[in-house]
Amino acid sequence: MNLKIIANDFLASLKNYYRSKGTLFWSLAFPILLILLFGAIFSGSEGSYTLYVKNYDYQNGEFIASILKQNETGMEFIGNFTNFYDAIYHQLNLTNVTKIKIIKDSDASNEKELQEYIEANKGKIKSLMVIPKNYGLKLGMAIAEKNVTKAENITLMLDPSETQRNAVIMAVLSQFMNQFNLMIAGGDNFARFNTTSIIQKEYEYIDFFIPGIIGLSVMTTSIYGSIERNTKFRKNGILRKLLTTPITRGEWILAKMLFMLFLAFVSTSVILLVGILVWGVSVQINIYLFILIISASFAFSGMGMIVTRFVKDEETADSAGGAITFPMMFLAGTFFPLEIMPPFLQIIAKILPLYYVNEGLRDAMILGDKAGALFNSIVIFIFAIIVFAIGVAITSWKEE
Amino acid sequence: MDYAIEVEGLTKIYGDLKAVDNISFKVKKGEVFAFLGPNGAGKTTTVEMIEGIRNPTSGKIKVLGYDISKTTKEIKERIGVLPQEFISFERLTVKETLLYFSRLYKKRADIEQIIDLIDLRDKKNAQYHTLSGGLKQRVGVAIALVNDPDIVFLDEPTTGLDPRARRDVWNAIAGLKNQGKTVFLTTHYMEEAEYLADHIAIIHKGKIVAEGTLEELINKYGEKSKLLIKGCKTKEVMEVLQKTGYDEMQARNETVEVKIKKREAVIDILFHLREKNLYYREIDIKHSDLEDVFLNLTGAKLHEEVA
Repeated sequence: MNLKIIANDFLASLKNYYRSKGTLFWSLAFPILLILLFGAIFSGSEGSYTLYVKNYDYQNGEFIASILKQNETGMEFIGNFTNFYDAIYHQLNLTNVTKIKIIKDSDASNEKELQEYIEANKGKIKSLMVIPKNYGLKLGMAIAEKNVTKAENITLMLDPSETQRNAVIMAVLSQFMNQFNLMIAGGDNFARFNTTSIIQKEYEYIDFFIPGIIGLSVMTTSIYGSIERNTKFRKNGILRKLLTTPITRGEWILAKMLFMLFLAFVSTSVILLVGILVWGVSVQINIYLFILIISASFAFSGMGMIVTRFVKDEETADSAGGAITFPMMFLAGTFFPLEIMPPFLQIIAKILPLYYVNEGLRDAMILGDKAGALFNSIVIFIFAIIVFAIGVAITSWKEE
Repeated sequence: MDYAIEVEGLTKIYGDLKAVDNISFKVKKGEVFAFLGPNGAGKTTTVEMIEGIRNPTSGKIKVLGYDISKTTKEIKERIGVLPQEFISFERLTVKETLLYFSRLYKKRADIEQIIDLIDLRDKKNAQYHTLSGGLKQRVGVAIALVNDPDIVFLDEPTTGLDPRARRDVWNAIAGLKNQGKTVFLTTHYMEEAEYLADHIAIIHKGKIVAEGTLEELINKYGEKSKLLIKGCKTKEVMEVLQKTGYDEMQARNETVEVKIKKREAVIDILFHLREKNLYYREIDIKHSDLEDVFLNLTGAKLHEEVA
């Protein structure tokens, strides 16, 4: 290893890089444009708010409905529904401001599971209505006995940071309950709710997006860089030329990887800077961030090497690079969370290396989830060692 | 040690194809050695085996006395290579390119001197991708000199260039010879070999079919020179020539083509024509060239393309 040769190659790469406006645009300006664009698109207010509902009393709904149907006003309230709660969901959906989403018993059937469910869907569940067990029966008894205190409360869990959203949902729900009380119980506060807070840090879309765009940027830079080195440089005779000079393949690869890492950290810094200055993202810089970016650079460079072992033509190799990066970009949770995809796609996402890079970066930088960051770092680190070793082993400067 | 390169029984087989078929030759120090042959003859395969870019199927190669299968580091320090169809780093300037490559070596030539030798002074600070094809090839030749090598390998240095750019590259190569460097040149342009080479090996279908200096090759394998008598009464002219002892001739339109062994024959023929009062519009002497040599040796043309 000759450090001077490595430094020489690094500097040449750097000059060749910053003098190419196209490369500069795609590697630096493009990710920034994406952040500005997507940040702006998703920072706007939503059309309707999803109101999650956990109903422990659903199975009693039919019984309550049958009782209510015995008088005219009750009949009017229930309409064609056979379940009291379906009628309530229907009324709330009719407002066009809230959209009801039921948390199934299979997802959470008790307090503890509900907490876990909220935890697992961090950032998604911003308002949750909890209907306690036997709510309907107690409400019926209270109305029959004209004793308001016998009725139970519905709990509305809210994300305290979402003030506007909370105001809207609370308004919708209290209006609905007032009407219900007027219709069924002559105005007294039989149906009512109290609010609690959903204990979780609140994340904006941009918090989700910044780590994703860093992962994307490192991936494309590494894969295409490696493809260019092994196709264009081969076609142009640069690799043949180097083979006749004293530089070793090890020195060359090391120099190029150092340059790739340099690029990765430059684009990461620029992306973070824009994220912080424009969108006020708060990020944590820790060791996992470095491990993940270094591992990702090696892993994706290795993948590029493997591609060019089989596809020697420059244009075809670029297309092959696209065939790898594009699906990964969309499936591995760069632009939107995995949870909104169908389950089979979520399974596919979990075999994609970029998924672990993205998840790891989010855990490390945004969520502060050390265990998650460590897990994802280990996955991508091991993957990088294997793929890069294969890439180096099967790439030869020699001609057949 | 008189030889820069010694090749013995060199063979390269791809599947069923013998790209290079048991060839042997030696290149003397300080000479320009041209490997001449059509595309696909095995020139590049051979030179790349000598440069260490390809592994031979069998055979021995010695460069500067070192066996290349054992010693590579020393050889790499002492050779300079311009690969076929070489394109350098696009956005480095000429000077930066030369510096980049020179820093790979322990021994470094003076970059400024090379810039002057290859006549690149005006383009020193131009980025490589802005240069014309001829200039790019000259930069390629310059790169091959950055370590002040003992042997310079130039693999088809003028392919695809226009005649003027080719001439400029030739001048650059001729300059190397004056510096005492051994030059190993591959080409499919016979003019290039004629203009530059001290020693020529003609390669066809993986085999060396002839070897020697230009003169040796033409004397041995070339045609006799021809005298062309244009714009004359062909019948009468041929009668006179036959009577004076020339029998290898043919007539086309108003031109008689007669083969001659010596230059003096021209004067002899013209004297006889004047004696008989036979007039002609013009005369032309056609000497044999490598194209004829190649045609005679292989029955094929060297190349079809128009330069």
